[in-house]
Amino acid sequence: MSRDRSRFDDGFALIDGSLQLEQDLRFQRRQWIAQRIGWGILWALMAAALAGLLGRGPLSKRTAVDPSGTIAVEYDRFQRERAKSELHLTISPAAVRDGRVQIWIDDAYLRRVQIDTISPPPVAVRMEGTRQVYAFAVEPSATPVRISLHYEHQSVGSLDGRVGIAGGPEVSLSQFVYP
Amino acid sequence: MDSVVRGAAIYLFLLLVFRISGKRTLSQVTTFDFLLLLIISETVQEAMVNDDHSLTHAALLVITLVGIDIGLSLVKRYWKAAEKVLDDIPLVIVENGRLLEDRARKCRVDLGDVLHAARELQGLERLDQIKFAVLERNGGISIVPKSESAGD
Repeated sequence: MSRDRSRFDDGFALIDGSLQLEQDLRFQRRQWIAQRIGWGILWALMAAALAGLLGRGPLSKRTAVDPSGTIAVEYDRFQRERAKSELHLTISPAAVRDGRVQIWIDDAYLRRVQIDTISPPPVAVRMEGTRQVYAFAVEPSATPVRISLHYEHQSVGSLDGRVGIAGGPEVSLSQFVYP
Repeated sequence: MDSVVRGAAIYLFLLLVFRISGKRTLSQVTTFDFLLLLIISETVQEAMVNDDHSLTHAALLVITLVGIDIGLSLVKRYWKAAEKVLDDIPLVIVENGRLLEDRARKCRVDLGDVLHAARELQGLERLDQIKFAVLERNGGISIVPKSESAGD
């Protein structure tokens, strides 16, 4: 292993008595250690992301259900700003009244997201205090009603929301949005 | 406000990632290395622009990137340790015809890389014709050939 034979004040060593170079083996060794730690962090982040901790993945899926089982909302606990997201609602047929089911979402949540499409499209939307109420036309039947909202988060950080059936049970969502 | 924040975040993030990944990553030795750099640039661009196509946003991003670059170069001038941390330092990997294997391994450089540089830069044929091979900060390898008259 070579040694620096002499060291000048300006940080340039003279390798083997002839090559003038700003080599610094002590710093190099410490840098190698730091790099390996950095690689570990990189791979850990990849693993965390694959698991869903950084948005959209198995560890991120949550379902909020109310005690009576009337409304269930499937959502992603971790999401990212401006990334395509989805909410899936499953409503029990008992909540259908006069061929309609009415879902409300609280305004504070809606102001921080941008909804792209709602499937199926609602037949009516109205404001009710701090909530927006969406009415869907439903044929009476025994199958649960499935509604999907495709949206994007417009802001970063923690976000709590409430979704419920008009005049009925509600559930809360808790999300964290990465920038 | 977010123009400056985004620009700064991307600059510092890229600096950190490329310093962590080591000298060789930036060196574009193979065609794929070059492609990788292109892909990274495309990815980062999307996040920086963030759907804001105004002149002001573009100008602010450029100003932020250049401004931080200038700021760091001043820091490097007044604080020598910062230069090593930010820019990296060169390393001798061949000395007097002998490959320093421990160092080469840690830098993920092999004999083939050294010989490639020797051929390309100096037209040398063999390892024993190399006096020094230095892995430079930018990932390239520079070669100092043995002088024939010295007879070593």
